[in-house]
Amino acid sequence: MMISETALYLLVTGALLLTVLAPIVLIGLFLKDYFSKSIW
Amino acid sequence: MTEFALDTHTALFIIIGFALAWIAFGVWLGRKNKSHEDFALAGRNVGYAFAAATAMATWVTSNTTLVAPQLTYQLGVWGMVGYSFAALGLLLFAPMAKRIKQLLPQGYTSGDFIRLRYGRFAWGVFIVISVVYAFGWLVSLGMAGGILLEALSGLDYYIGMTIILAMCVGYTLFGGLRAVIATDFLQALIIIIGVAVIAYWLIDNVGLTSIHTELSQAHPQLLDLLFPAAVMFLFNNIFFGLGEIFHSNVWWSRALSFRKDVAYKAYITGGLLWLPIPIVTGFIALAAPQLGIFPASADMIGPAVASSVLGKAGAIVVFIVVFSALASSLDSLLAASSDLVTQDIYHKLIKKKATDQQLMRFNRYCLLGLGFMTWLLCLPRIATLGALLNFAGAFVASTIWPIVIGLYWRRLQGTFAGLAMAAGTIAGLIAYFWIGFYVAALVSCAVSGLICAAGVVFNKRQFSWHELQESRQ
Amino acid sequence: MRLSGPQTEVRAGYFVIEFEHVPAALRPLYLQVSTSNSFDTIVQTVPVMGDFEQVTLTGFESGHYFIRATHEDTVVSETAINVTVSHYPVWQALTLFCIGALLFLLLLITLISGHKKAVNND
Repeated sequence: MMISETALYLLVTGALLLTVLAPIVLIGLFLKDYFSKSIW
Repeated sequence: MTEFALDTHTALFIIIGFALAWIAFGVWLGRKNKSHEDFALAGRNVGYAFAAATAMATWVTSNTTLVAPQLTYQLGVWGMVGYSFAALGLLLFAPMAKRIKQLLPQGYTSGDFIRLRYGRFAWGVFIVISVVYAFGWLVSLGMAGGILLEALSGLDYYIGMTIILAMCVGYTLFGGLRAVIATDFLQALIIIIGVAVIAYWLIDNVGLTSIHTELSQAHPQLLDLLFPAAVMFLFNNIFFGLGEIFHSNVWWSRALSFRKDVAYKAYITGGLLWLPIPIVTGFIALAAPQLGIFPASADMIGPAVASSVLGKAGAIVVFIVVFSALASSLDSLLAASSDLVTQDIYHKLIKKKATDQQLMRFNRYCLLGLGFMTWLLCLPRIATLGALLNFAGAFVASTIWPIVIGLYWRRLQGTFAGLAMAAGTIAGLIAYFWIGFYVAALVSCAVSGLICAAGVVFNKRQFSWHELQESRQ
Repeated sequence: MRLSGPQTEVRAGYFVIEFEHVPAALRPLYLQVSTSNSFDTIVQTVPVMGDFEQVTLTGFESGHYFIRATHEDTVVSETAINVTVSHYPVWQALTLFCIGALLFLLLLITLISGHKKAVNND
């Protein structure tokens, strides 16, 4: 049973999209911590 | 003569530049470290952003940047999807991190918990497992560093390995856990952005359609959803990941250093951020046949694809990404292991009345010693990275049940917990050699689970949670 | 020149082919993979990277494969070597998968019920 091209496409682009979202989340959290002085 | 994507001088320039920058950053962060608690646990008050980033970045290691592509090259689509299931380790550790903060507000290490909860016998077994695992991981990271730098730039294995080890020891020595966590945050950003750029480049320039067509014609097994070896490997890999995270002081010292309300959500966020990364790095290997790239050994596939197709700028990106991934794990492991030795062996066995300053000094010597021992063990290039790591699966998976039950239930006693870890490890090793690598962690976890179950059934005495509160000088 | 491959059956569809003392004149070297000894149909043609003396091939279904080395369309290996790929049976894989899934489910139940109990006691 082979994975179809569509499924592979969804898997890879989905993962790539989530990966791109990660730095945005991390920087957002950092700015929030920074302004509320709760980094450490 | 083999053509390298990056000339040796550029590579050397980049890693020395990074090494100096990270060490300077470590010194700057180290100003705040007044006590051993500051040094070892960053003052127990790490906020959400740094906590989530360090959980994610530490779990992105040579595993994700070198072994995930390797497994994808060998086992296909299931290799990368299966690898991403290792995120379960971080996700399931989230409730445990909360519990650890609650049970051991003044604790330092995972060894602390095992000793207080289960006593000396189980503690002894646990320390053996921790040491084997920590050295296995340290050595595989050190070797990965050397191999990577050599594959990308022709830089001598010994020089690359030495620089990456010296750098991590350097900034941890000055900055302690604070330096480890802050560098992890920056390294996490570098890793994610770099990996995304490479994968996007491949999709855009090679195209998923042509990759799928090439694989289905010449390498059909890689697209097979019922690939037997890959299906067998799946749960073994999950238990391996759970064992690594549940037992290792790398994750316990992080849980203890996070602010109380942060521990749970930081591990959940870190796990979710990590989840897609092995799929993205693994995909790089799927593109290899279409590009006509067949590596000498499978663990070189990631760097080989990147260095062959992305040109010099791309090679620099890959170089920095993998370098960051290695550093973000190596520093954590060095710090957590020297904490374990300082706290569990020096402070509890050798010098019970050690002052805070003595502990901090010992911890630093310990870091230096560990770094040196890792360097010595990396000198001979022993096994392929994957084999070394699978071997450790038999050890760590035996700790899963004793730790989970020990954190939440009062019925399991030390003898059974110690036996469970010892018998699980031995059974896992036997399975590894008699059956295959794909059952080592599974058998280890199952055997250990059975002994724990027997322990819970036969035991009458209930553990009192107050026994975990140890008086501190 | 002489090729050498795995001595036993290959169980997971990937294996390493080694070659000794390849003269520089034979680079770039290619490996041809076929399902027949006469090489009528070529399944894969694999370029060997740089000056490495081995290459890892992957993605094979169960079956017999013949492999030889070529340089500029001339065969340069003494004899073709024979590799047998025989994947683990699917039932064996699925059995292990189910045992793993069961053990994982048990662990999940233990962890979640422990967590709930701890939260309620808090």
